[in-house]
Amino acid sequence: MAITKLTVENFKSFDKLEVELRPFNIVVGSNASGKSNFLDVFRFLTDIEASSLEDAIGIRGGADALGNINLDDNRVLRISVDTDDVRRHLAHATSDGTFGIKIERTTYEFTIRFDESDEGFEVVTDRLTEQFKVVELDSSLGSGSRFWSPVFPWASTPPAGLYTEQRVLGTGQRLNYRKCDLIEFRIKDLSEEVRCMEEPFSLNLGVSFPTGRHQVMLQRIHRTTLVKGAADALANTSTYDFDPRKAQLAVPPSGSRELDEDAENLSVILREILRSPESKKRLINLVSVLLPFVHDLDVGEFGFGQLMTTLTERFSDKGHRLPAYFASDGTVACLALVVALYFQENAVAVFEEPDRHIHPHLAGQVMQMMNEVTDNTQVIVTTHNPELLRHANLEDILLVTRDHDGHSQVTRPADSEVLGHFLQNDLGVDDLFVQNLLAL
Amino acid sequence: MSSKHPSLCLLVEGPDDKRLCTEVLLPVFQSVYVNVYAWMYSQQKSSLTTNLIQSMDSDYIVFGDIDERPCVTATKECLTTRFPGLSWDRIVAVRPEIEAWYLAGLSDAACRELGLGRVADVDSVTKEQFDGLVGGRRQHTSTMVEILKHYDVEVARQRSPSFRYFWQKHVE
Repeated sequence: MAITKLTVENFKSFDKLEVELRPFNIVVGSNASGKSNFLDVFRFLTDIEASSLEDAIGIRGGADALGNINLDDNRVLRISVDTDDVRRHLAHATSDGTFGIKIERTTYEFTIRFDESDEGFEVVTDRLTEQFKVVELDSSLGSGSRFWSPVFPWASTPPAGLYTEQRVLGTGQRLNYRKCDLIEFRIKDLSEEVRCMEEPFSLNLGVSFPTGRHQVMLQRIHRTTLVKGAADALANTSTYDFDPRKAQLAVPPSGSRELDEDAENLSVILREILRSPESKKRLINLVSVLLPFVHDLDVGEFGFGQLMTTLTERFSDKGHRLPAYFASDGTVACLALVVALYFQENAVAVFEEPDRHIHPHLAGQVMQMMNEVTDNTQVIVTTHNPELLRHANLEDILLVTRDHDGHSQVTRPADSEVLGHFLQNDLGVDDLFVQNLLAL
Repeated sequence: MSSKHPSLCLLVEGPDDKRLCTEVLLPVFQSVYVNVYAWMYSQQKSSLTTNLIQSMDSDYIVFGDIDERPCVTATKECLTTRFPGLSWDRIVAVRPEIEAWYLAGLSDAACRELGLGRVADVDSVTKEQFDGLVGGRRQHTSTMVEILKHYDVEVARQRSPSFRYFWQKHVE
């Protein structure tokens, strides 16, 4: 599951932004170009999903701090997210056969208007659009069998289980949208073949549910089985901005099983990983690629049950365990990076300058590691490091710049013909980046 | 005073090639050379690597994947075009990619221990096939590290003709 497209209007330094995302995205740009604001779009959405729109706005300093200060006050803030997750829902079974809807693309968007109310904003639109195919299913098992489940347990809904797609009958869209204080749904753009199907078909596709003036359906509390797609991607999005100094310290043993943004709970996460011999072997193999001197890893208990990572170096004949407190910032940053990439179940992982403490000669290996997880995890990474760019595919690079009005914009240098001409003449992306010529 | 040659540079494409060279070949060459080091060239500007080659006299070996190219000669032509002055004799063609050399060094017992299926013809294994064999791209690097712990040069010489040719020409 990945975010395939992001559209933003009137958010911080952005006026209008529309960017298509790939499995691997390397975000570069000058200082103050808007890279952090770009990443904050993901944080903002994740905060909404986990908490509420009010909280997500509040922790950013309120509505006043969210919109672009150079735009008109009455402009709405709009964010739209496209995801590519495929979901299979059983619709109904009749004497004609068993039918399901296969959702292949989801677009979730909302707009808010800033006002003088206590909350400082109101939700104007809140809409989820799902493109689906209506397929006829067969319960006989084959190599193409997949798990299908009902959305609602109506009497006409077939039981969840493995089904094989027989044929596509038609296409349509399911739309969930805000109307007063309700999220309603309707089916639209049904192709002719599907439109003439029996009534229970549409009955099984959605429900209406209440919402509030300052709420959006992305919020976890309001999410129904229908509002998945973007919500699932965002619920499994993690943002990392490692602080090795914090990750080196002893931490209480309790807490989240998810690696903190700054990796402060690295020891807690490592302890879980090291419980399994297979996971431990894999972890040490991966860490040794970046840190060849690391022979073993462990998590020890220090005063009052606090946990601290320890490592044993190959140079140590006596097997001395070195507390992370004495390890270098780079060592701890490499550890955190491997854990975040390979041992966290993220749909999307966003990294702020993960190479900040890492020696340039590891850039190629770091890029390879980020690339090799992209079958399961979409990676978005910011960097100022030309070495990292030298090992990047040009198509994966996103450039953040400011336009003549000072608004941030995101472009893909691979689309530039001028740049292609430079690159054919033994100039590297890293050279053009250092000379600030990627925007040509 | 040491009778060893001063230094040997192993020019490799990327991190996977460098890892195999460092773990498997570097110890072998260290008996002949005082310094042995690896240089990754695939992401370097050609001029930099050309300068390195020109400063090395003949104390270097360039490893290049055959990939989709029809033969060893085509691989060597590609490299000599990219790096003017590169000696034809110092090029080693890896058939088809470095992943094949990794698998070549695994005995049947090692394959069983690692839970990997034995590939009869390692010279045809591509990166994508390697990833399929090890359980997906996500397992690529960790499996390579594990393979090197079980690596047997003698087995590699038997199983990979391109590895055997390299060994006969540059090591024996």
